[in-house]
Amino acid sequence: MTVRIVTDSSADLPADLVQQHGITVLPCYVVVDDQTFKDGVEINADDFYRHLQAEGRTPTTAQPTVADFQEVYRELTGQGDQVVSIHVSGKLSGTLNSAEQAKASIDAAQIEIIDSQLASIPLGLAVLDAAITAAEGGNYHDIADKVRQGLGTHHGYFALDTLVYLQKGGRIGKAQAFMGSILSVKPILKLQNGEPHPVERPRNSERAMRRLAELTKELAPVRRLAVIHSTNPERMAVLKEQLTGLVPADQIIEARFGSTLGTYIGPEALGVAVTQ
Amino acid sequence: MNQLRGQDLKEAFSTATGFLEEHRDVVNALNVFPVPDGDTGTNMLLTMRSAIQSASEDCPDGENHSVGAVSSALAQGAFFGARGNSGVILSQFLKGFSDALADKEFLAADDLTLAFKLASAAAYESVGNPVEGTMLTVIRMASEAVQGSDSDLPGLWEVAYQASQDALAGTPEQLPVLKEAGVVDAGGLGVVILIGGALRSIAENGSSGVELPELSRFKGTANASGSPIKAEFLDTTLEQEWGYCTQFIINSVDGRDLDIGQVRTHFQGTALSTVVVGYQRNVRVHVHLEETGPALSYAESLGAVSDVKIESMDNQNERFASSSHSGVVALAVLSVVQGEGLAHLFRDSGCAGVIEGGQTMNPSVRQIIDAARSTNAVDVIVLPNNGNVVLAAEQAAAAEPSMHVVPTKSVPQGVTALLAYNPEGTWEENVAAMTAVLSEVASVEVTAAVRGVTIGGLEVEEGQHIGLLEGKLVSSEDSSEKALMAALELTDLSSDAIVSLYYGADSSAADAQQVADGLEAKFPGIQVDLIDGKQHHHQYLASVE
Repeated sequence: MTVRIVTDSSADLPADLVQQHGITVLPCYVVVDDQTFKDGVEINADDFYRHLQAEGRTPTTAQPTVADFQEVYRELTGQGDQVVSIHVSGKLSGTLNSAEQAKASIDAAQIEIIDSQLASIPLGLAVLDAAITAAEGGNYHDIADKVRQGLGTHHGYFALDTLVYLQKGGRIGKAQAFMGSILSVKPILKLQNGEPHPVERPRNSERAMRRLAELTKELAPVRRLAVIHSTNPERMAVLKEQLTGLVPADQIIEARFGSTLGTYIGPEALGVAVTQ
Repeated sequence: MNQLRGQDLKEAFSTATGFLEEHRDVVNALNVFPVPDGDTGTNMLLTMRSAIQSASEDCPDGENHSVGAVSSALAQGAFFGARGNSGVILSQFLKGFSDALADKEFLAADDLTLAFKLASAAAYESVGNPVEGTMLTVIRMASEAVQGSDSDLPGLWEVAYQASQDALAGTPEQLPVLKEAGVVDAGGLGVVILIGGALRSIAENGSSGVELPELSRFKGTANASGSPIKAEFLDTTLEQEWGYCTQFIINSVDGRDLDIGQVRTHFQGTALSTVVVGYQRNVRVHVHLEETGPALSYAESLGAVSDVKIESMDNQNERFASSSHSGVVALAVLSVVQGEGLAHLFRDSGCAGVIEGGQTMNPSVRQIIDAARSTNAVDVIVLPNNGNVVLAAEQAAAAEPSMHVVPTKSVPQGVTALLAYNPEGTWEENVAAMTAVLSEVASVEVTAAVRGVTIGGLEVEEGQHIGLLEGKLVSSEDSSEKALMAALELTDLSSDAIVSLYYGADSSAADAQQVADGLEAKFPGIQVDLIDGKQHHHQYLASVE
């Protein structure tokens, strides 16, 4: 009996880590110019951001379907495995609903579903933690309990170029307070209670990056650290440079906002996630 | 006339207000800096009008009233009608004056000496850092003169009037900036006019005997135009310190009067950021403390304690949780700004309320309180955005414990403070964060000189454009763009500086863009943000951070 970890593509986990830890990732859907793509499978990030910044209809996203979940859950449980399925915050997406319905449709399936209250690479770190815990042994209830207990140790800060995409996508929430458009600010947001919250309004991207590093350092000591970008790997490299004191450089995970997150976070965004 | 009845006192203040109205433009024209602001005369006049209106309502004509009742009504009206720093000080003067007369049916000579004494003390207490050479000095010297006099009542007013004029004439010797500009203090002149006006009503020989004497005596010599000048008013940088905020009201029991001075003295010795206001029956205390227990024990030893509000993180969170169901928000920011463009900017950047006013139109304490209430927030942070509105905002906050002031003295400072605001923080966290960033920003204002003057070796001709850095005159040029550049070049424009340039209604986007391009070329690496402020009076406002 093995406990298998399932998540969705909004976790923005790099492919090598997914493979290394045997994690199953269900792709979310992104709708670009009336065409539906599986996030990370049928559309890559470069193409997606090109569409996002082009004139035309704003991309939208959709959760994996119940059928998608049924297929994955049947396959894994059919092999006799147990499943811990960890997903994007229920306040941001209906992914959990699909998962729950799929689970209910499968008799006697040994599946635990967890609302991570997270999104993007902070969710990725929670999933990674779960995979490592699962590898150490224990049944799916034990693993799920440990994952739930550990959810408060994963944190993320995001420096956006603009809140326009978050607003267009209907996920602005509490960050609405920073929505002003006259002054050019680069808002920093964090995830709290499953949704984005406003943190600060630096006046330019240089200061935003500096503050991102400072805010992250306030979370030290950290066990795991990830940096993430949407369209600017060079700036992410600079950010990473500023954070090497927290964990050795070769242990810092580098990730990219996929098209699901990119729909809301927009181009020129940077982020940091830590596990304390 | 050896004593005044209530109606006589009302008449005296009414005459004084009329006298001030006559001479308001003279007071308004007194500016150290030739900028179109100040309006000290208008501010004092509007404060007095509010006092008179309150007295007319509470103590109608044609009836007998005690001087206690009349002076109390005057003080109440002035408190809520106070505008600008001069208005706030004037209102506190009236508060002290009325405290001395609280139980008096008539005003006799020895009552007047006490009234002046308390009025002077109250005026000084109202200001964080009293500055000599201002209206405070004029008030104090008038008060001191009557203390030693054995004249009858009209004689005492005469003594006060003379002393106030001497004090006013001496203000340039006390405040270097006045001397340099060759002027006397505007608020001080306002006080002289009010005392003289009252004397018109009280003097035995009737009103015609008192004129505002020798205004030429006070006129500046440095200014070519010959128009009189006045001081940039008090620089009231109130030091703010932070701790646990404790607010409560002490109510007198068994008819025993409370000693507000004793309460204030007690808390000044034991707490930070002390504000103690009120009357004999109720004293409102707002202090910042590490431990609240001893403060409340002390308060309970004096009377019945009510309306206790102790701010802590947990309480704030609870209030937020409970308020989110009632349409009330936990926290809001209220700004005082002039002009549609700036009002839009402040709203866009997260201000729940905007009061129209600032440079030439200072809002009253009452207006600030009303606007704060209309935000429907449990706590309101007020950004005065003008040096002459700070004190009125502080007075509003003293009367309304839910209001908290971040003492921004300019629009650019206000914007910087607003950007440090996080609606999810407590008001304490926000006021601390918003106040902290004020020291990180330099403010530049550019306007047209309304007359010629020479200050600090800088010669200004009427019509020239002048640049002020942190309220101080630093440049004088033929064009507003040149004055702006000259002022900005005095700031720290190192490579990561951000310059926010708010161009006014009289400036064009193209000219502003040229300034921005010039700056970016001359100081590589800096960022210049252009904002269409549409403000009047200032061709440009700018901040450097």
